[in-house]
Amino acid sequence: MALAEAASEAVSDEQLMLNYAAGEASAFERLYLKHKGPLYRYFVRQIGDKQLAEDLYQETWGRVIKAAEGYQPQAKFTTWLYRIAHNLLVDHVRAVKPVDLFSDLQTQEQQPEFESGCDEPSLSFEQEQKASLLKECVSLLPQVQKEAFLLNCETGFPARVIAEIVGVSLEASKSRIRYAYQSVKDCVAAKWEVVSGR
Amino acid sequence: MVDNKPTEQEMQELRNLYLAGAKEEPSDSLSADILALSRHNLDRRQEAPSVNDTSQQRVSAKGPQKKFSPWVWSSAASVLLVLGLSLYWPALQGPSPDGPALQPEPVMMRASEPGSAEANQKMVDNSADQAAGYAAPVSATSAPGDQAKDEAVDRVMTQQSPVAAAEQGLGYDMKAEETIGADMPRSGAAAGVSAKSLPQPSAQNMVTLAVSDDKAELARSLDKLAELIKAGELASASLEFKALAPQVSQLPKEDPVRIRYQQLGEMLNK
Repeated sequence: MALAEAASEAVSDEQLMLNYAAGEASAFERLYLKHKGPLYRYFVRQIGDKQLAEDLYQETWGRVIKAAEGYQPQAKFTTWLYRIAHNLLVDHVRAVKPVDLFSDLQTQEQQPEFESGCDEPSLSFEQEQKASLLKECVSLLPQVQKEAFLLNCETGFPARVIAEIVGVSLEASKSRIRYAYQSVKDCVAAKWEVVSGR
Repeated sequence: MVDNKPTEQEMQELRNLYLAGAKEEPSDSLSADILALSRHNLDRRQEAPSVNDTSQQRVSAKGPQKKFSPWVWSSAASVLLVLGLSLYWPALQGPSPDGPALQPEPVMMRASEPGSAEANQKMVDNSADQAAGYAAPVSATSAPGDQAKDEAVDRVMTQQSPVAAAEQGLGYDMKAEETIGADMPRSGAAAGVSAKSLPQPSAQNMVTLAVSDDKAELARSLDKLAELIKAGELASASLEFKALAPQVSQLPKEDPVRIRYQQLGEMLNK
């Protein structure tokens, strides 16, 4: 049983996609369960409008489903998946005013209901607070840095892959990641100082 | 600023901190919708081959009709156009529009006698048209009913043209003419070829004959004019007098016909 589970986990995303294209519905379910959280957060944390974020999230998976029939594993599945997501995001940014979508001035009150981490007993109180501050700081990042930070943190994509997804040079990608981390670090430190000093 | 650059360890801590707070997940209903969509798409793809087969059969069945329909429509439209023109355009029902009606009629070369005069008329017309560049169309567009007349013209012309050709040293070839005439309708080809080879002296003789005939006709017209004056129909006489003026003006002043015309004019004025 354990061996079977290990074997099923060893199946790559690309193979799961091919299996789904071949008619295996469960392959897509496994693929979806594996990537649903990171992709969902990719949208939700970049877009102030949660409903719109969910629409884009659903549209991304819809495109994956439609493209399954002619899917060719030329790149990593995750790279392809987030490339679709990025393009949808850019299209909506172009269609709607960026100000309406990316609220760089998001405040604590505007954060969605998932903001509190109180139902996570394993986290210490300090970590909970810092995690909450980090979310706030991430929301304050410029859009391109925020996207680079989310892609790097959520999926562990290196700068090269992020550059491929976003469509920029490697140096630009590295620069965005570096500045994003630096800004978040400074922001969290500053906010933690305020919180711990109270 | 350089000192603030996060180290790899700090980046990892931030990453862990981020993941510690990354709890957002899509709702169950949203996930159910997406999974249902994936299953629906799979079912549809499995049903697709049979649907594609039937649609291809439909396309192949409709293919020839679509291919031929423009041709059929254009043919039908052409037939309707021709029928419509033939029914509603009266000019098409009569003789050809570019036939004799459009040819210039020489005033001085009108023959008055029936029978052979008609042949002379054709001959003179041909010579006049040759000078104007109209010889071929006149002959080529002759109606089949005019074949007898054309043959008469042919006889006159083929008798005279070899002589004239010999006079001018042009090497006229009778056999060549026959060959051309055999390939074409007799009425058109022979008249056309003969008209082109008509020598100038013969044409002058024929013109002289035609002028004398014209003078006779003019004399008869003057007789008619005199009768009108005597009968007192001055209005008709005046019109006839004016109509004859162009023909009379071409006659020499000492010509008796012209003198008589002038006399009738004086009578009319009185």
